[in-house]
Amino acid sequence: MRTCILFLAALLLQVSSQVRADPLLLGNFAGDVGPVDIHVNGQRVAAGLDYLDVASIDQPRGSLTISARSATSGAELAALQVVFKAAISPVQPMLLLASTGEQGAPELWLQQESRLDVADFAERFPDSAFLSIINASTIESTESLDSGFQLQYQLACQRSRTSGSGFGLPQLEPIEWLTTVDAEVGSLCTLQLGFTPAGAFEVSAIPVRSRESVRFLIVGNGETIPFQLAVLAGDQLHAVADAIEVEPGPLLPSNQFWFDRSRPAQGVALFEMPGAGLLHGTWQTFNTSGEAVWYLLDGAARNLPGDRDLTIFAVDMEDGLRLTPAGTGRLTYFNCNEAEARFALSGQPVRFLRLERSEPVDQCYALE
Amino acid sequence: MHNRTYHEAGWRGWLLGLAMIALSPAATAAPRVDFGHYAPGAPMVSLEIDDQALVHQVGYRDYRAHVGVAPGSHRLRVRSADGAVITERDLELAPSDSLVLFLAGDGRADLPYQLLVSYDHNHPIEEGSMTLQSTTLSVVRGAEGQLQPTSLGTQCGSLQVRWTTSHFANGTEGIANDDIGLFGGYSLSTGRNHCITLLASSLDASEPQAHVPPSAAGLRLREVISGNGRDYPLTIDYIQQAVEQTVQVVGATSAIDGLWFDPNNPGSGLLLAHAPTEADPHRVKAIIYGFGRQAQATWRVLDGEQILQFAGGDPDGTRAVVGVGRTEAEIRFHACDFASLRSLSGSLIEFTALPNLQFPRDVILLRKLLPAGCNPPGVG
Repeated sequence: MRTCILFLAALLLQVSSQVRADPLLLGNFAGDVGPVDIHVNGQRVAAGLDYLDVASIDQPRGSLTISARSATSGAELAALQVVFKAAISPVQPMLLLASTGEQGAPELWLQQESRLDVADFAERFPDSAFLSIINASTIESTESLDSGFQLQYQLACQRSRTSGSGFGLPQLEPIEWLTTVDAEVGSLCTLQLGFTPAGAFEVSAIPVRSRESVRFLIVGNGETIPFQLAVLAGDQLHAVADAIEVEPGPLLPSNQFWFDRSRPAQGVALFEMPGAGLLHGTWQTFNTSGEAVWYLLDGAARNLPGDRDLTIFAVDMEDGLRLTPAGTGRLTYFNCNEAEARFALSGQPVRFLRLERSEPVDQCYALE
Repeated sequence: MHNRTYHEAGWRGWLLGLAMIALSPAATAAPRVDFGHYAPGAPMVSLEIDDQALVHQVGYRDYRAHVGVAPGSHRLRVRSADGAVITERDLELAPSDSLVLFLAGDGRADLPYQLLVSYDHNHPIEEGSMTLQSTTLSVVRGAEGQLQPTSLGTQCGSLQVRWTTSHFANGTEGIANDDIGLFGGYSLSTGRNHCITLLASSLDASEPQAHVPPSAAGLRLREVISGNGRDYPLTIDYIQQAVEQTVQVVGATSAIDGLWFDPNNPGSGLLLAHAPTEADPHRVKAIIYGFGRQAQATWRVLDGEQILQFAGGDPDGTRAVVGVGRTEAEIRFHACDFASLRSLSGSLIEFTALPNLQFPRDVILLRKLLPAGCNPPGVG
């Protein structure tokens, strides 16, 4: 009889825990699927979620069959079977739709567990909040040093500062940490994130509240959808930051550094040998794969004053320092502070640069 | 004409790793190798290099400077008086190396006698200061034989004691764990700010020993902590390496603009430019010419102290995306054509031909290649 009562009590407890509802965030971070509907156990719980939309629902615990469907065609985009559990840490559960599948296919993922799970979290860390960086972009992480990518971050809050770096951040496997929150005024954080090859992002004045989650999601594919950093504070989309691009202007302010105002992301350093008609220089630019690359320039005066014939050398450290002729060029000084460069790398279209000295001078060796 | 020859030689030197003899003291200098016996309990020893004995009858706490080793690959052996090999190792010695070979350990299975390499740090010594390079080789064991740390504190003038706790337990890695102290204002000539080193074993609660190291502006000093706290008391030996001409620290101006490089490690260069801001009138920016993981040429930008890596750009140069680098570095200028570069965080070795800043050296000495000397204002 006693066993029977205990069994019934346990059954009742299980049933009651199954019907208890907890907040569940839903977010659409798949940029190229259009608005989506979310269905849970056959019932539509959210409709027309656009890219970067976030919704909150109350979801009973238990086994869930979840599907994301196109809001326009009704076609199923992704499905997930999962057990929705009680949260024991400050991780507020979130269902994400992200383009992390093969060839950017949409995937559903439920973030509800954490390596920071602590049963008595509220008692042990009463003034803390949970933060995570999640790669929800199409960039796949690899262990290879050659084909991988780098992640660097610096997070500064009012009371704490943390930073890290490494090769790669696997998709949907977050970096997590706790931060201390000022109980009275909350905390404001600034995140600087470098995610090569996606770029750099900076988001400031991120509100962090006690026992709440802040998620930093890297989204996009860099082609049809730009790489962005979406910041969710609790259930609110706080900010969406674009990658930081080079501001127009010379990379260096120097009378040895020349740049093209319409192509400011590259530049040329020129050193004229006084009275010798000889020129040494460097050219920093990007190759056809978008990687930063530099070349050495060796030049000699031609018959025309102010003209220099150039040899362009590629440099590598394959077996010690190695120089390889990579093309030719011509530099024509119009005056001390303006010039035109023509660079012809082997097998590539000729590139013209309308150069100006980033720090103008009154006298120059080039025209002596 | 002289300028032309200088520039061409310098340029080729940077490119090809040749020449630069005039700029590079390392190219003409022989390596410096010292040997010190700091293994308590080990017998008197001799040091052999490639089967040739260099020094004999070296006892505990005996230090021999300039033992004379040529650059190249060598096999080192330490023998006791009865001819038994106590320990041996290989050593790759570059012409610019300056190092100490320490015999250390206590001969037990978990800490055998071994020959450690400790590279001299190469900080230029700034005016009114000296450097102290500290190596802890003490081997103190508790009652159960477990290794115990040695506490080392330094107090200079009214500055607070800086305590470090360390013990020698590198096993057979063969690299000494060094600490470096740079004592600003630590000058014997003025009598100000004498430093005291406090040494304590964790074995007992007795008062720490106080040691007063020698001091003088420009002094390059090593201290070696050794002993086992029992039959060989803990002690500090001070080794005066050199008294050097100190260098000044000057603020950056446009006179420093130009191409700089490390003559000991040609291949990487820095295009430096004075880029003052209201808050920092001596701020510099630089393009760092280096190499990626596949040995291909790549470049990054140093802006103030932060090194930025480009996440990508297009060949036309109309668009580039910045990657925030975690690497931070500092450049101190000592003259228009002489500077030192040190790492504040991260490592430069990933993307330059420069050596790792933490090992074997702590700073990289940069020389200005082009234009030579101080730039005249308004001339390009």
